[in-house]
Amino acid sequence: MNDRVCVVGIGVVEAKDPMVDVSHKEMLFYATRHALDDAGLERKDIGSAITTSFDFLEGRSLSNQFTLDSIGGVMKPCDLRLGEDGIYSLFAGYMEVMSDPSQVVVVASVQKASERDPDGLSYQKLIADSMEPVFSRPVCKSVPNLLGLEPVLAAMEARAFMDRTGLSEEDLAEVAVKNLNMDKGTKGSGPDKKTVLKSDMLSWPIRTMTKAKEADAACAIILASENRAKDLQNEPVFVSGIGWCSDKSHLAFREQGVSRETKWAARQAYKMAGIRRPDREIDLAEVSDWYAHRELLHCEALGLCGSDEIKGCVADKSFQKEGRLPVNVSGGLLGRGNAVGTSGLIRVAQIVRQIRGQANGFQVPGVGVGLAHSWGGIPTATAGVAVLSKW
Amino acid sequence: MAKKKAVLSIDGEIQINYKWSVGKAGDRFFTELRDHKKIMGTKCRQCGRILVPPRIFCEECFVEDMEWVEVEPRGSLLTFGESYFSTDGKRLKEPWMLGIVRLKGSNGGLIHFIRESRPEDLKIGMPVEAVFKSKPEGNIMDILYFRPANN
Ligand SMILES: [Zn+2]
Repeated sequence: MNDRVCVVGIGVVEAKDPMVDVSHKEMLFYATRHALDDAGLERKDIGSAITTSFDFLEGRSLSNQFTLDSIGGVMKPCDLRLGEDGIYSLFAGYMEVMSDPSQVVVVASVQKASERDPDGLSYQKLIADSMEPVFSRPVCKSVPNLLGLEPVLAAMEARAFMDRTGLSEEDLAEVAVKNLNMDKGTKGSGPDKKTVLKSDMLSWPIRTMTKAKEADAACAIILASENRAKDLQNEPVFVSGIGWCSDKSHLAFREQGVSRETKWAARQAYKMAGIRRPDREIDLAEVSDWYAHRELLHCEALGLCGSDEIKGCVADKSFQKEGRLPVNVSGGLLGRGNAVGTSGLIRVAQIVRQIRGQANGFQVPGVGVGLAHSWGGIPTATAGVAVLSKW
Repeated sequence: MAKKKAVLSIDGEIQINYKWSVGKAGDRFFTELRDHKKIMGTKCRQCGRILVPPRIFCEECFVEDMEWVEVEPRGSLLTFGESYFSTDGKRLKEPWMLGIVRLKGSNGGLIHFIRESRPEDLKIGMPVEAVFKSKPEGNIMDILYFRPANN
């Protein structure tokens, strides 16, 4: 079989501090240029190019048309834009390669959060404006202080999850400590549990340190068929399964404290990849830890642990770097920052680095199969899952 | 690492106003709420679920085979969250709270304010009831909030 789809190049531009020296178009260019260099390719080799973006996060209507020249997409089959996390561009790119296995496809996403928030309220306004407009939005818009909106909505789902599973605030703090300490250069020097549990309470159990901070980042990934990849310089990393799913659009209609969409996205990806026991067959996972409780909620939905095992997995450090199934060894969103809409594609790049053995300070030995997961954030119930493998 | 020099920047904004239709289902719901302080749901004749907020179609069966039914203005608290943030940035003594309420016998839920209680008094699954505005106007804020109720 040589029609499998592979990752042949990756490029990531990210920083915890605002990237004040470049525009978002320049960030996307750098990410794409790095990915092309990584693959040993040039713009002329690109068959088609796909971006994902959210117009209101960027403050630009038709934001995709604004970025196509930054991904080498001028006068190419481009502009197939998706208003979802970057991981969705991987799915679309996968289908592009399947439809014409001779072509090389660039998929990319950028988020410059630091440009958005001069008054500190913009993201909260966007959350309110993402709510169902007739029955929910008027309520969300009339809260005494919009600054509290996202934390309260996050707290509602966390509370339902904790009520069902028996997880404590301390368990969530463990997740935050793990991810805040995994970041390269700060291993062991990050905050401890006490510090996390003392950080400002936004809305129980959401604290400043159990919620990922927004960050600037761009990510580009280059896809090709296995046949095409043979001529390229890198050992290919195979995209062996993909899946995506959304639950009911109206938040109040969903079961609280579960991620049905993640479960179903994973089911699709596992079926494609031939995975029956994800808890045994996956070596490493990068999942959305937008909030600390979300990491555990997603591990459960992805089948990386049973519903009755979550608390035990925290206690026995299963998801630590040295554990049974390392999760977010890159630091995840909590450790690295959350570039909303781009973070999911960065999770894919992190898995590719691990499979290639290029993850430097946070390399886990012998990663053969890795999983990348993305969630759209509150108030969405949209998830994407990609299984990547060495063989 | 040395701090990077910021390049110049310019200000930007997007401000657009809209007027949304509440739909056939919303029209009936808000009219009943305004004129009779009644909460109405739509019952799917195929699966039997009563949807609140109502829809003219069932998203599971995917048919337009619904009948209108009145729902009691009480139900259970699916989850809730509290905030001590006030507009002036000071910590409030009494927090404001939002919750999701599933009205009795219905499927779905309303996101709304929870008042006349403190977070420590609330429990997932507890009974709550709606408190209505004295002069309703035909929107979701005609329900002022939900409060704990006796079983
Ligand atoms: Zn039905």
